[in-house]
Amino acid sequence: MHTPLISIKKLTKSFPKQHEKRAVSVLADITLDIARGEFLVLLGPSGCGKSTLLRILAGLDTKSSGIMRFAPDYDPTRVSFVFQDFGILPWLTVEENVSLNLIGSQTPQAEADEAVRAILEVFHLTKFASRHPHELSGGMKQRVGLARAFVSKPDVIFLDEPFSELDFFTATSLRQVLLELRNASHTTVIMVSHYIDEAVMLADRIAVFADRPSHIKAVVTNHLTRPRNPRSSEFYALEDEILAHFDPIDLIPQSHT
Amino acid sequence: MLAYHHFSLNRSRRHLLLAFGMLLLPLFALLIFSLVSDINFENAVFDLLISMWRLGCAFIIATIIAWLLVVSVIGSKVEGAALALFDVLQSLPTFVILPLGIYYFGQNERTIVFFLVITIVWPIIFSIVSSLKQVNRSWREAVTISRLTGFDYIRYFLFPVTTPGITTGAIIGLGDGWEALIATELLLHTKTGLGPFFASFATNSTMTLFGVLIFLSIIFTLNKFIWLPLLEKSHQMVTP
Repeated sequence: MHTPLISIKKLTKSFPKQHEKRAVSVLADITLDIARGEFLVLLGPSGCGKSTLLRILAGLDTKSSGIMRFAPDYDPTRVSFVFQDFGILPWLTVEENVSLNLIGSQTPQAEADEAVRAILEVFHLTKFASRHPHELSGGMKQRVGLARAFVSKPDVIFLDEPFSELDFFTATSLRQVLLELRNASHTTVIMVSHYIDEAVMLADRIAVFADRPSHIKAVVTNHLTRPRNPRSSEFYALEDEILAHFDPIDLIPQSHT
Repeated sequence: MLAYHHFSLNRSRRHLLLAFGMLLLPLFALLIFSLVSDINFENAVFDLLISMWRLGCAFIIATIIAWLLVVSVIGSKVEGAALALFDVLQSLPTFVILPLGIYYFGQNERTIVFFLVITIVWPIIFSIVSSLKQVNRSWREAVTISRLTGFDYIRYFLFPVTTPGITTGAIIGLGDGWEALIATELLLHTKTGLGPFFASFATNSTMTLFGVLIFLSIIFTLNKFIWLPLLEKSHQMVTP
């Protein structure tokens, strides 16, 4: 097997609980290898710590203990993040929001202009380039979020439940755009989801999370050929296989995180 | 590419014209006032402008100090201690510091501006702190991921998120500032400014009332046509 891009061993995360001496364990004993170019989905019920793991991997949070190794050519500056609540800055226009990662990476102006123009076209945002976020629908805001993530051609894209606040039609269309862009760029994608069908539709591998304490219960390899048919018997069979990893009690929403 | 879209102060050209018109109104009232009384119009306008100049200078200095202090403290290791210290210092009656100002700067313009700065700075500090504390986590993280640094970080993130705080602080601070300004001018027996203007009419209630009305019209105009639209606009800027 090739050297994994990211390798995690016995990673834990706990948060201090207010007015209490003991800490709350959010992640316990997480061991996982992430291959270069793969589409990995972290799947589990709300509050099971998968977003926390994603944020640790992206460098937005720190682990409490354990080992996290990166391949020698892994460049932490060449990553993007797509937020559940879009994370687009309301005082900037669509064009400026999309350009943000290019400004941060000091991309030359002409190159940045061309990259922004191209990605706005891909996400059908050209007409809205000078609009501000409050003038956009939720679906369009997430298009801006995705455009911002892809514009800098990152090595890894982290997505935190990017479609959970969108309607069915918008989410389906954006999943398709995400897949097309990822297939064209061979970017490593690590995405958090709590929808089994979304995970089966998109992922190469699915890390199934369980709660109390939060850990990875299984890593399921998705052998379904692309394009995937969500009404095929194989699709349903894989959904059932994943669902079997959850105890009924795992599906009860938790209060923490 | 990045034609940074600064928010405009004016809602419309009509609003801007009205604001300037209203700013001229106190001057027009002063002119009428000078015709029916024995005050000199030029002197009265000079007194008004010199007081506004003092307040303006103090406001700019206080805003710069407050902004620099807050952005360097919030999120740092000393945040808790610094905020506690600010809280104690802002509770200190500023007039306690006035003799110290006179001792160091003498009985002159610098003491007035110094005193105004220490009066105005606290509401601006706490309003900026409040703005920064309310920043949406994903905005902050988006900026972290984009690796904005230096001037770009200030331009695209720090300045926009602190603008509502600066505006709110300015409104409160300038309100306190006018009061401190008149009081300091009276205490220091300055020869120019609104303090001596009011002092000279201390025994004439009609003249004082008229002066107060003109003074209020200036404050009303500044608030209604400049600060409140600015406040509304700046809050709109950071509304998701």
